[in-house]
Amino acid sequence: MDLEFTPDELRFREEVRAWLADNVPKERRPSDGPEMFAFDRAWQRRQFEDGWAGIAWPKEYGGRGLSLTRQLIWHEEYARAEAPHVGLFFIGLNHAGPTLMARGSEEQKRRYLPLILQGDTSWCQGFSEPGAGSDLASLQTRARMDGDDLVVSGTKIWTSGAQYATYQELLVRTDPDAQKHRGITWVIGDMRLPGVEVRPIQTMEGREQFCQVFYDDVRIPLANVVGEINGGWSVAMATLGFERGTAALADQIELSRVVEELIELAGRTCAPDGRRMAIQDDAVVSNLANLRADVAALRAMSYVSISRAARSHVPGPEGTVIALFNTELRRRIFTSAIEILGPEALDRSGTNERWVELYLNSFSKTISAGTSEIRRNIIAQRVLGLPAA
Amino acid sequence: MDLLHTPEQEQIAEAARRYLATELPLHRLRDPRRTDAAALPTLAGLGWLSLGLDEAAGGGGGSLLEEQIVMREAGRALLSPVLLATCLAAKIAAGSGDARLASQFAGGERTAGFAIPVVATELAEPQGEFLLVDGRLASHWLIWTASGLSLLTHAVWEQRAAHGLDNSLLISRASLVSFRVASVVEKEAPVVDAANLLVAAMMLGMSRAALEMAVDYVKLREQFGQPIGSFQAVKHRCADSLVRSEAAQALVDFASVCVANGQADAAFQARAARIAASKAGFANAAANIQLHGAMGFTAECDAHWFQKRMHVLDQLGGARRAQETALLVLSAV
Repeated sequence: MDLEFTPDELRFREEVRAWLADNVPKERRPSDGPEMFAFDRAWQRRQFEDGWAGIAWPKEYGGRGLSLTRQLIWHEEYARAEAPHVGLFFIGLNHAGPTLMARGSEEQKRRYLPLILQGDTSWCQGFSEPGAGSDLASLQTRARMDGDDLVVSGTKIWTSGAQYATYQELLVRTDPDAQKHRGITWVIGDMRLPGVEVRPIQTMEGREQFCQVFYDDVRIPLANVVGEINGGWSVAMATLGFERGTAALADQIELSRVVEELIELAGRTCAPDGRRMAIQDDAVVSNLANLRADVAALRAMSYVSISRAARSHVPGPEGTVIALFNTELRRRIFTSAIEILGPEALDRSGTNERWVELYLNSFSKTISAGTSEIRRNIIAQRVLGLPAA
Repeated sequence: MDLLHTPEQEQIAEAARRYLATELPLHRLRDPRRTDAAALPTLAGLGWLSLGLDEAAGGGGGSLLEEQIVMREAGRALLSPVLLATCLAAKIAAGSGDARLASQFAGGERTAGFAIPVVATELAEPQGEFLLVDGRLASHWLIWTASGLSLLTHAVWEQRAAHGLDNSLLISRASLVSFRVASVVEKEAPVVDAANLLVAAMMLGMSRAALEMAVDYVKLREQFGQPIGSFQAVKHRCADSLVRSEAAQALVDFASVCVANGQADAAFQARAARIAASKAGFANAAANIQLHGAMGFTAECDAHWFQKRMHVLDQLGGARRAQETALLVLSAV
């Protein structure tokens, strides 16, 4: 057990801090539309140009080839600098990228990975379907083999950023007769292909954050299959492992800062009785102290998961523990913000907008990438060894 | 940076766990005439009371990192708070320059008990009513309030028997007749951070033990023709318990490094660890009782001991609400 950073790591931290101070965009990240994509892309390109993209990715794929500890330092400084959310590049950087590195062919890695880091292509996920959510393995989107192609028909849903993505991590059923986990293939979809149609869906935040995607005989070359034909379930589990593993590191670290902001907010917002500040209310004190302790725990858990990942690159089921803790905590933090704001929260405009937006958005976090209920099942069965139903 | 335990630290934990499971199993708690204080010289012989001490004060062989690991195992076995009180007394004596007294505590020749003030009291001139916890063999007493710690010697008490909520410990109500203050430490002192951290470690161990006991039971107990652990309502309770323990574990480890290194955020991290561990301890103890069904409500089942002991530990140095208020004014960086 130690929390010491080497002199090299400390120098690295100084470098990161200086670069972020000079380069973090001054303007707020747009929360919707093509302006949002343009913003995310410009910011990703800026990071890549100066060598800050893919810190822990191998050099041959455009990364820096540095340790996860340096990736952690980057995220800590990134949060401190209040740099913008990774946005539409999240799936490429944290899912598709790591999955390709773990399971892709050499050609796939060389072709797709640098494009992600360069801010050239954004990715979206294509796992959930209208009839396959928590029961992901019951997915129905069909892909039949025809010559050198897979011909895909069906639909995917809750696909964040599909309208801006170039590529998609697509799960398709290649053998309808096999047992349901055995007939699935993980393939790189191209959103520009004929037969792909994207229909945005409005979320409760009032934004078009996710979409339904329709596939009408879309021809995808077999060369795009990642892993084996009909072996996609284990590739998908690897993808979800990354999502539940260190992918959320930036968000976790950011939460510490958010709680400190919340304490400041409670110090300058009136309590409902109008006679004192919110922070002078015992219930608010108790709540904020618990949130502060919990984000400290979350940070410590992030350090543990980095320590663990340094020993084994494919995350185990423990990642689900931190994911459940993180997402449930987010809900509590942003709910507290709304409570502190009081009647002010009813008007989203001005400085309230950020809190209201993050509050509404926090409801998605306990559903996406495995609901809290599914996460509890995974923990119970795979960590604690309780029997399946 | 590496927050995982070293193989040596894992060995220390395993050895302590095995030793306690054999020598001080939970069923000992059913005999209220006995006290764990009698085992302190033996535990001292294993080095448990001197892990966090300098060599000059009879210490060696470890640091606060190893000490919190052993304290976690002590919590798992529900060792009496006399162990913690005596460890802290050794630290306080060493800190005040009394190496001889420190080594006597570290060797288990002298022991300390907690005297919990019913109403907060001055540390230099303690008065009022106290609850004495398992102090039959104590040579010294530790008073721990929001202002700091006070180590008393030559205390003469006027005692009345109490009916302990935790009936595995002898608890009495008492007021001081005469005493000497051996040492007072202010709330900013590092030993207070170590004290909060070690309470957190004990609570963490209790949360783990309660979880493990519950998981073992729901794998075996059958209803509706299958183990109750296959039902989601049961699974989810167990999963939530694990998440609480993991959060507390990470923070106890993180905080122990901060306190051991004397970092600026040591006080904050130690108190945050205590809050996280208290949450895990209380909630996992309650879940364990609940998951045992009616068996969990019996005196015969060991589940209730964890719940009861949590209340005793919670009162050391100020209960949960006081900890929360204190945490909010500390610096997190």
